[in-house]
Amino acid sequence: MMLRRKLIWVLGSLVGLLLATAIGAIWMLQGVLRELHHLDTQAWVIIEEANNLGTTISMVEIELYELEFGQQRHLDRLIELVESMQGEVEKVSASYVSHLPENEPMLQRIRTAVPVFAEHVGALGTAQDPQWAAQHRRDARDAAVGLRRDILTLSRNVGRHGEAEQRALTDRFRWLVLGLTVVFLIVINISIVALLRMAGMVLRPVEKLVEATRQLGKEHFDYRVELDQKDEFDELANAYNSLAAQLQANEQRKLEMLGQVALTLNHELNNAAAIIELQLQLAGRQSGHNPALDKCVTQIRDSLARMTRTVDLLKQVRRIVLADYVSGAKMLDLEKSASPDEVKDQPTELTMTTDAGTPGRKGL
Amino acid sequence: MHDGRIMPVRLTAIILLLLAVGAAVAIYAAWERGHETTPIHPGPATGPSSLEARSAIRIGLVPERDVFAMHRSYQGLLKYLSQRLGHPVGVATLNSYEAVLADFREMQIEGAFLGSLVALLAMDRDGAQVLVKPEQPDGCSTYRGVIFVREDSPAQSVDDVRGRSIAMLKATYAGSLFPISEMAKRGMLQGAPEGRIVWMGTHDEVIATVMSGRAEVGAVKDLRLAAFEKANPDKRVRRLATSKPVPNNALVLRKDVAERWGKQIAEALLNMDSDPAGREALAAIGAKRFVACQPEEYEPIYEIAESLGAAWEQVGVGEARPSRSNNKASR
Repeated sequence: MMLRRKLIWVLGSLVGLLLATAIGAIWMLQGVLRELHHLDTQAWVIIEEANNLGTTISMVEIELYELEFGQQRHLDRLIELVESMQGEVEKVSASYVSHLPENEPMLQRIRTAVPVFAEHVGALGTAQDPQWAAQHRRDARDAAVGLRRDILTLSRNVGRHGEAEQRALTDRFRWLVLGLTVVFLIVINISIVALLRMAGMVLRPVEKLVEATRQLGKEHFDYRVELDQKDEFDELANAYNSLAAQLQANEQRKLEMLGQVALTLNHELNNAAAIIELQLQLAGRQSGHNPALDKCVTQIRDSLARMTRTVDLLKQVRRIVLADYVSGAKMLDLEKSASPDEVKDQPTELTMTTDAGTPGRKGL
Repeated sequence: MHDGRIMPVRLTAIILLLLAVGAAVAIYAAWERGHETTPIHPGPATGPSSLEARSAIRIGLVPERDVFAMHRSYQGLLKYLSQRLGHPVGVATLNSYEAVLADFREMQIEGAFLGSLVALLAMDRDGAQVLVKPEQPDGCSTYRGVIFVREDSPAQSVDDVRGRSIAMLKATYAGSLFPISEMAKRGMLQGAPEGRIVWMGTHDEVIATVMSGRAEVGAVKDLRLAAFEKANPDKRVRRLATSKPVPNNALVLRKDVAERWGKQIAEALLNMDSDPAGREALAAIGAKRFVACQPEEYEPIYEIAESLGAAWEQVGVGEARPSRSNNKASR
């Protein structure tokens, strides 16, 4: 439960960090795109609109000539052009670039001149009196000349402003790319550290538990796992330590019992051995130097010594090492059980195999 | 076991949530991109006004005031008519009343909102049919010709016009036929011209010319003069003569078009005032509703045309004067 939470926390933080970085990067790049869009709509488009405005004025003049020379009697095209011109002026006016201090006077003049131009154009479109028409033509031409001059100046100013903005934007973009590269490098490093930490959260306790299991296999019941993680691994380590402590206690109890058995045997067999030894000494003095009898006595003494040694070994048992006795039965391997070091570094199963090299020593 | 099932669900939910956030960011980025690549400069709109739409019913207009304002004000009406007919209706704005007659002859337009003289000439010469005329909110659907001067002018009657410059409007009842008739009655047109006639393009230009002093006398339709007085209460005029009323801006259709579309167009226009969209379009042209218009309503023009004699040529609409017999025959 706790381990999952930790993993989710680390993973979640990592994903959150990556996501936040990605969102931040996208937001900043979007900012640059917005600036580009802004530049496009507020500067280049204004230049285009200003050029369109100049073109529209020329087209209006062409329409007026056609009307004047009777090549045209419909005013719809003229009306469309003038309305288009008014729309273009509105577009130019909508941009903040046009309202910059250096452009504002031109814009105001354009805004004033367009209705005047339109008024004269409208009058020219329907004028019947030559004198009246000539007056309107002069006024319209004057308005058109002024408009063209202001449009050209405005267009140049906007172009200069746009170029300056573009340079600033390029510099900003360059720094942004550099900054994002650094940020992503940091994020990648943080991710690696976080992943290593996450792997460590699993691998460290697993390694300790594997080592503890090995120690248990070697019957080192005093080995304990030390973890301080407050998670499932901690619970597993506690379970292992309890198991090891229980096994250690059981082993201790068995050894104590064996020691008591050895003491009892030692006590009983020593008395019997002392009596047998006395009786053998007596029998030797009475028989004189009979070789056959001496041989029997010697064999009896050897057997007694062997019994005594067996009891001594039994008293020295430190652990229980079993060996095969007959098929399906086990017996205590006294030599190994009494030896302080012999089986320490061997796998657990070795302590359970038959000691084939000592067939005569099969149990007590 | 229970927790073991819940946690993967939560984990999955968190991952899905994060993926959703990521997807939202991606969609936003894509949307921004799409938004930015939207064309900024749509091409010039070609509305129903374009003459390129040859299948459209083209209705002609002749400016009697600001060309652009008049063009705009009729857009709603034509759009409404298009919707009601289920057929495109466009506008053709012409630079003079003669141009309307020429377009009628050359079948460049199917109909036109016309002043009374040109409407009568279209009926008389080309067999056109008058359908409806707009009625103003005050119930007026006719206009009169007015000869006027500035209030500070010494001229007190039409007799005083002699020797003064007069601003007029070619091929119109109010702007040329009526003043020429009045001057002809007084013998002002005989012999060498006394004073100077200044031909203007619209009624409003005539008024502006008189008010600015570039001409001393003006001849216009009374509705435009009234509109001027309403808009400029400090500027006063003196009316020297007023004509009989004739239909104002009636819709006239070419003969073949009247046979094909006349009934539907008349029905649509006569019922406009019962429809909110129709009322809105009517308001744009300063009308309350359309009412039926009859050729008999042009009787004052026949009277003047017959009384003019040789002075008819001064009107500037050709030698053939309108005849009642022609009009009856065309009906």
